Amino acid sequence: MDDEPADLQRELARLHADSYGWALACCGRRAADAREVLQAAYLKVLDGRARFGGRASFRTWLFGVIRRTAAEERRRDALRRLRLIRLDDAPEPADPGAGAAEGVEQSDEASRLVAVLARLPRRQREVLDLVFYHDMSVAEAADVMGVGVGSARQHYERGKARLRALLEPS
Amino acid sequence: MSDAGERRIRDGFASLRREETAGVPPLAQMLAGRAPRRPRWRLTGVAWGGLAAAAVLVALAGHRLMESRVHARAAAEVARALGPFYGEWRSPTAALLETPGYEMLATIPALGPADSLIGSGPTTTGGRP
Repeated sequence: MDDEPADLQRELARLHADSYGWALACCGRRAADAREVLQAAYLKVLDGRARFGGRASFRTWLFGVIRRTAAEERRRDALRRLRLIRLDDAPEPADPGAGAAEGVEQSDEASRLVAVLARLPRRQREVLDLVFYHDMSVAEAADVMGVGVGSARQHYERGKARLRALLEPS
Repeated sequence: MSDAGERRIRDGFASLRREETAGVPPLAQMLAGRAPRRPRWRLTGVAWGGLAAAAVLVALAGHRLMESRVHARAAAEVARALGPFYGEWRSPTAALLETPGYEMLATIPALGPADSLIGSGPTTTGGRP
């Protein structure tokens, strides 16, 4: 893909809904955080701080940028909680446990899934989200997560088994 | 995995996707202004204190390391200078070991040439003299 700003914006527009869904997944389904992360990721792409090298698909690469941006944001929040850094004009960081309530209205089925996903380790949650929500292959998910395919497959299998057990009607 | 389990997962994600897609903020709004809305961050007093303490610890550790290296180098110099005398060193109590006949213990007696040993052995006359 050409790196012209117009092309980039067109690609971002095409993938915007997907990107927002992925940003929500990376931010524990907190809508405000997801918007912040997504905007920061878009700015990185548009001002050239993140450059598409063409090694993977644009979507895979963009999801990787969003994931890294969310990770940076988490680290910054952790430092704020430890009172090691201060953000100018920013409210106190939200409690990560109070996640989904702030997001969009969810049906019982969706909110149950979100609650159950929150109990899985991050890597398992990510690979399941990429495969089931975004219809990616495990290899594409591995690309986004920056891990090997074997490792991603292991996270996928374990996560799926755990998710299934947790979703089982009691 | 059973079909029911797989279907439950797929349905859950499909439902979640449907609901979240309905609330996607407009892209134009997100790109408007393009100025990062993220506030700038700076280190707090706690962090500066921590950094200062870490710097002091690193300086102390470096000083200790340098000191030990200097000592090790000096010890090596002394050892090199005294090297030739080490072989001549004698314990102050070594004289106590010099008991009568101690020279015999420190030497191996010579048995002489092999022929002389064979010649002086017993004869082969059935053991009689």
